[in-house]
Amino acid sequence: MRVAEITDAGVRERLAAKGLTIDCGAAVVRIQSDVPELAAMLRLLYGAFQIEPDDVVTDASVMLRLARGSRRVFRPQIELWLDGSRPFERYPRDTPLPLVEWGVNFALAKRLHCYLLLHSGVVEMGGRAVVIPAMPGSGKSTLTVALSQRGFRLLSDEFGVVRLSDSRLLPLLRPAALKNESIDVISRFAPDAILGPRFPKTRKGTVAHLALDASTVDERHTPAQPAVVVFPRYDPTVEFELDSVPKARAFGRLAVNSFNYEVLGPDAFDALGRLVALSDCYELRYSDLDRAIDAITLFVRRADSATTLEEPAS
Amino acid sequence: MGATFSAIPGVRILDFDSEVVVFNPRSWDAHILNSAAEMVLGLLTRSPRTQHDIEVALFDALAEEERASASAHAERVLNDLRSVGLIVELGQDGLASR
Repeated sequence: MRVAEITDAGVRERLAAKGLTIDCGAAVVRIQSDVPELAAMLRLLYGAFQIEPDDVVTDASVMLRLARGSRRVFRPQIELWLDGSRPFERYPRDTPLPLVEWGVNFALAKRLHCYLLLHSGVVEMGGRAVVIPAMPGSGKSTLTVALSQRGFRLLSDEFGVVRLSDSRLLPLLRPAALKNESIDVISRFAPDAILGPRFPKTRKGTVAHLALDASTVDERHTPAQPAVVVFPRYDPTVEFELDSVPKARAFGRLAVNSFNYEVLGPDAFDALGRLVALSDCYELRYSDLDRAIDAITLFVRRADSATTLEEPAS
Repeated sequence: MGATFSAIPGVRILDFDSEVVVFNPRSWDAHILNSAAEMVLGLLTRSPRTQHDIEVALFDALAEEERASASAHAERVLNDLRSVGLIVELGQDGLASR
């Protein structure tokens, strides 16, 4: 059963009881909460996801709770609990959804060490993955989401999940987080895209999330072979500029940008080396989204004609 | 003949055209090497070599106008590789010196 098939009240009941358990592809996540307004937000954004049984083993468990005490009346606060502990101070109550999403990301980055986790968006076309590594302000999420609205399948807007055995990219699907100007950019670029509420007071400015469609969610266990790495940089002064990046340099930039390269050591080195060897690497400065998408589409098609896909490892 | 050097065991090398990336199994650090450092590390991975051996190998690999500096070049490359722990200097007994 998909999340959208139950009512807001039904989601609220689940959140308050054993939680809403979601299979995101490379990880299973459980969300619990007694914050009533969170239910409708999650139902909108996770509507296409299947609800998993309560007894499924999870990779991350996040609980958002209303804070107790006298301040709850005057300055209501919420608490984020991860896997049974509360590692952070309380937060104002007005950003429950960004807090849950951030909490899930934090928990996954800390725990999912059976994979190499790159800080990157990933999309796929024809079985070929495009890895879009992030630096703050790079426009990674904007470009990733825009590609997902033009024929590419979204694997993640945040995590490049690299399987250690063969370096294939696995989906880790969550509502894509858009920040500040990119919210309006995507609203104009894809008017039919379903965006959740805007939260103007987060640490990263205004945040809104993109709901994923059912066909994307249903492909959550379909990996993709690495083919292209694009280091993007949104630059309003440049319409479109493209440079090739030497593979050794691309390796270094991806390793530095990984969540757990240092945890995995030799396994990460081998997996990332294979990924880079299989990929053409570029640096892209852009302000024209359509041109950026055309170029990336061309790279993927070129990669498609240059090599044949290997059989996926079982 | 000078000192004798050897690569540490278990070094992993990824060859990407003009540059290589190597993995140090002791520190878990990765390093990007230029072609000279790659050549020296490759030699020392196969067997221990003296500094003189390295100078000769670099002399042969360098362009003619650079050959006069082969000795200094070899010393610099060996120091660089040793400073990041990818090679060690061997003592008279063939063991890594402290």
